[in-house]
Parts: sequence; C-alpha cells; structure tokens
Amino acid sequence: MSHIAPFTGFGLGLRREHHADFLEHDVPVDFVEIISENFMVDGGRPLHTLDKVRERHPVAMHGISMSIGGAQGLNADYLARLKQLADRIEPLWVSDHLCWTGIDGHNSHDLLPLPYTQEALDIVCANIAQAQDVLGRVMLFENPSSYVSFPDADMAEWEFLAAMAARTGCYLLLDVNNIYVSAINHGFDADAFLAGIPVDRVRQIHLAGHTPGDIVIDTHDRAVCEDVWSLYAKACARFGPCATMIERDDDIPPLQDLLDELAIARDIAAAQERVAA
Amino acid sequence: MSLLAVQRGFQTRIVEAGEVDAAHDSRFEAGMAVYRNAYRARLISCLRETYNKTWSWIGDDSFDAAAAHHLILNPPTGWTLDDVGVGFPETLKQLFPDDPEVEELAWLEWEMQQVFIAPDSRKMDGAAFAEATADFGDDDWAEMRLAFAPEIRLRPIATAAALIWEALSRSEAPGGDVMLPSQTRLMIWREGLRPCFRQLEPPEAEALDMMLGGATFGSMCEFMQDSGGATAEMAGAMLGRWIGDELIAGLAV
Repeated sequence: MSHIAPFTGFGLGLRREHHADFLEHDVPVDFVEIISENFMVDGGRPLHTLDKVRERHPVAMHGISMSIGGAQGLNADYLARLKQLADRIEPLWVSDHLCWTGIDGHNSHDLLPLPYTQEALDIVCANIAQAQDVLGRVMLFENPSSYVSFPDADMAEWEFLAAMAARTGCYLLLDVNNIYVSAINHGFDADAFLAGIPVDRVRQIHLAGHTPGDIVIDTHDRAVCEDVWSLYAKACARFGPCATMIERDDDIPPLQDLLDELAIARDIAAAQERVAA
Repeated sequence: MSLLAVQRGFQTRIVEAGEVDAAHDSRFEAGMAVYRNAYRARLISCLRETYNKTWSWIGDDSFDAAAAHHLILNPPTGWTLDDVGVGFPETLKQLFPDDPEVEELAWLEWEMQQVFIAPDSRKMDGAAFAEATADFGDDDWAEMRLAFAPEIRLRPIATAAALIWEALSRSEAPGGDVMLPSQTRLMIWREGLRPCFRQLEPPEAEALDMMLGGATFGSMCEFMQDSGGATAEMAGAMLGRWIGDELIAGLAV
C-alpha cells in the first residue's frame, strides 16, 4: 500500500492501432501503459485484448478522469470501476494527472489547470488519500501541460508536487514534455522544475511531442523534439534509471517508428548512467 | 476566491464561450481559448468517431450542427468520453423528423458499440443444446422456453438503415429506397468478440420477439403456422440458426 518499487524499463502506450502488433508479435518493450478508462468496460474485445497483452507484459494504468483536483471530491463509482480493473490486471501502478476535469456534474474531458494555492493543496491531498484508500495502493500523479496560470498561486508547480507527495505518500509521473510545454507557456525555468522534484518520489517518465506556437500545445501527435530530449537527459541525470515511455495519441505511426523513438530514450538513459558511474 | 469558485468560473468560460474578461491579460485569454477550442473539438470528434456512418450519411455541416445542438442540451457528465454519445439518436430524431433513417442508423451505430463492450456471457452451442434436449418428448419441446444472450438488442425499423450501414462500410453510395416496404425488426448481438446485426424478416421477427418475451417453443410454432403456414421443420431450422449465431444462452428454467 505504501511503497512502489522502482521499475526501470522502457515502454509504449497500448493504442488500438497497435493492438494486433501486441497480440501477434513479441513487441520489444519492458512494459505497456494503458489509458485506464478505455478498459473500464463490462466485457468484450477490449478486456480480452488487455488480458492477452498482460500475459506478455507488465502493465501500468494511466487515467484521465479521476479529477484529483476537483473541489467537490471524487466520483465513488469511478473509483470502484478503477479498482475493479486494477484488481483484474495487477498493474505496475495506477496513475492520473494533477488536474481537475469538471465541476457540478459536468465533465469537460480535459485536464484543466489548478491554481497552486494552499487550499488547492489541501483538497488535492484529501482526494489522493481517498483514492489511495479505495484502491488499496499508492498512486502516481503526473504534472500536466497547462495554458493558463493563476496570479494568486502560493507556490510553483514543482513545490506543489513536492508538498503533495510528502503529505500523501504518492509518487510522481514526471512528464518531461509537459514540463517543457508549461515552462514556455508560463515562462518558468524547466531546470528549476527538475531541481524542485524530490528524487525518491519519481517512478515514471513520459515523453511526447507537442505543437509549437505562441502557446505551445501538448498534442501527442508527433515525435519528441530535440529540446525535450535534452531535458530528458537532465531528468535522467537527476532521477537515475526510471521507467520511461513515449505517449502518442494522434497521427499514430507504425509501431516500429515508436520503437525507434524509444531506442533514443534508451540511449540517452544509458549515456546518463555511464556518466553517473 | 475559493477553489470551487475558480473552477465554476473556469468551466463556464470554457463551455459558454464568454466575453473577454478585462481582469485578465491577453496571454490568459489566449490560454483560455485553447481550452475552449479543445472542449468543443474533442466532444464533436468523439461523436464523429462514435457515429461515423451517420456522419458520412448526413455530411459534415449537418452532423456538426446536430452535435453542437446535442452537447448544449446534453453536456457531458460521465467519466468516460464515450458517454458523450448517449442519447444522440434521440437528438437526431428530433432534428431530422422527415428522415427516420438518420435516427435508425445512429441507433444501430450506438448499440453495436454497446454490444461490443457488453458483459461476456456463456452461449449454448449445438452440442450442448442437443445434449440438453436429448430426452425431450413432444410435450417437452412444446413447453421449451429459451434464455437468450443478454446483449441482444431488437427493435422495430422502418428504413433501410442496415443496408445503408453495409454500403457505407464498403465505401459505396447506398442505393435503393430509404424506406422499407413494411416495418420489420433489426437485431444486434455478439458472436464471440464480434458485434453483428441482421435485419429480420417475417415471421422470424415476430417469432424471435415472442421467444425473447418468454413464450414457449410450442406457441411460437403455432404462431408461425397461423401466420403463413410455416412448418415445424422451418421452425427447427430457425432455432438452429439462432443457436449457430450464438443467440441462445440456455434453456429457461
């Protein structure tokens, strides 16, 4: 319940376009990450596919609908369904995002930004405690990409994450692309973000592509860019070997393209390990 | 301002596309526009994916207008994005009162997806059925009731929605009359992991309806004989098809 052992493999998200690859071939990944909600169904092919993939690979569950920052608390039905899936597949861990998705019964189906205030921290921590209690396991929470910030924030995002982890015992899923995107959008120093994250709380790293512009948007529709690879190298140097995966959710290429991209992550992580040694 | 107040204000500005707020700078407004645009685009994209053939049938402009109308009247509340599609066939029925195939096609699409993720259930195959009925006498056959697979959907249809689906699946332009000569029933079920549908013709449509409602095999045979002179052999062949199609869960107790 209170600890997640480090896992240091390299993985990919399980997307519908690649289901056949994972069912018919021995895909060279160390773990697979699923979008939890896609498999929180009663039966049929999705769960059949997941069970087959689980026979071959460790699976991490990554959610998008917990709304851990919701001021009105968590959805009990959602938590029950999430637990049902977690009990079925025995994942490496269960993660979601530091965000809220709706209020007053409305669901925007987006990862909306929180003001990093003391009140928000209290609410998030209470919600995490409830989620971890229902699931019977500690969770990981991911730093989101965001496009607005709130002037009355009491702390920086990394300070919020560190305090949240310290108070709840949760771990962190560090999305390096999200750090990069938010750093540009809000004008903070990505290196300061990394330096503010407690080393012992990070259990997974996400990498993804984004759309450049006046406001950088986290689109997951293209390859990881050079700047994000550079930031990943810094993350590897600070956090050491850590489960790493590439997220691709739109304009999804053949699986081999993503495996080639994952090889870059392996090379960068290995290079940083050699430096550390 | 409390977190609850912040979140209510934020959500209102995403959903209702409010005026520019003088309290915020242009950077904040630009960021809000990203969330606002993403909200609308994500939900309409979800409806397009869920109702892909209905979208093809009525075209981009009509579909997107209907989707926007639906989302205003039915803002998403569920934790799964798929639930955005709940009730869309009814919305289309109101918006296209003179084109009943639109609602029927959308119903077919929605229910096919619900059957796709329906709970797994045990089906009775031919060998199991033969074993279960091996000692049946005439009275046993007459009194036999069937338990059907729980995912089966059966509804009346007046249009060629099923044929439209099939044509669109082949990327062909649907031809022929949109309206059927007479109303019949459309059935959706699952064979293994594959959702299927079939437009039923009389008297099978009525016969299946009866058996789903708990009628005995004997009363179904009588109905078939009365309604067109169908023989016991024809009823048996129909029953065999139901078993082969994985419609039967077992014999009802």
